[in-house]
Amino acid sequence: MAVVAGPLDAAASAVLSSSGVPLAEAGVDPVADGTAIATGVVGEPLTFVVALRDAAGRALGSGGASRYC
Amino acid sequence: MQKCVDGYWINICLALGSDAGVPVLSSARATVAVTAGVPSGSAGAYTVGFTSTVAGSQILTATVAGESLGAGSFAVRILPAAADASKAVVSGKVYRYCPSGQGTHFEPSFLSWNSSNDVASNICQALVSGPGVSGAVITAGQPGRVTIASRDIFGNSRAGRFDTFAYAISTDNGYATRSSDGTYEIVYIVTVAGTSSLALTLTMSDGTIVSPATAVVGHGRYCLLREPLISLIIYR
Repeated sequence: MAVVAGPLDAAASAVLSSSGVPLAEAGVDPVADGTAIATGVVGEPLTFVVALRDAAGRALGSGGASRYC
Repeated sequence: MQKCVDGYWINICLALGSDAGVPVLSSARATVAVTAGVPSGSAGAYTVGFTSTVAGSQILTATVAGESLGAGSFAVRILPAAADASKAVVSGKVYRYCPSGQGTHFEPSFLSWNSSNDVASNICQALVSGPGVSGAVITAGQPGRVTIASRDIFGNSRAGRFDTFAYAISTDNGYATRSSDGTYEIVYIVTVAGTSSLALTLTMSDGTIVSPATAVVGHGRYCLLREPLISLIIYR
């Protein structure tokens, strides 16, 4: 039986680099905690991956669509 | 609190700033489709992107429905773009020349000029005109110094990056040094009074050569001094 994710929990969600590495929290040494500082170049697209999760850490199912504004 | 969840669509809000509580440099908002009732799994990862025109260490804040995503603020480092000759700041130090009630004289202190600011008003009888033009007077045989501060097309400092600046002086030799803060200094000595030129060029990473500024060294015809003078004019 498939497990269905619950409602979105912002605190349990995460922001990752474009390559999927968790971003270092501002002010935290990324070497110590295994995260990474996102690096970009001015004028070039800088992308992040946002992982939406429920309170149990399950990824929210997606219709696959996104739109930007 | 602004509600960002609209049905099955969720608004993800990202903002980039130099520090918490300061104006946002760049921002992005993406609306993603989240379908309730489908199995969880690898889905749930959404790509959000935008661009920044400001280099440096910045902080990314991420919110959804007004609440912080994860830790809420993340470290981001934005590197400067490629060097852009039109943004290079050329400056220099020259001896100041001023007339006095008893004739004319040189003041021993240096006066700085900068190609991005017309400082002609600070230079007595400077041979300067036009936008972006600066000028000064130096003594023949005294070292002239030109400093180039490399910038990208957005005006960000390229400190710590390596750019190649070349120069040519028509009447005498000089030498260039590079400092660690992204600036380059050219020291030159012109011993012959008269018109000569100092041309500055920037060699881009792809080999393209552009000219951020051209200096024209000419005779100090405005001055009545014992030694021949040369005046320096910088054209952007």
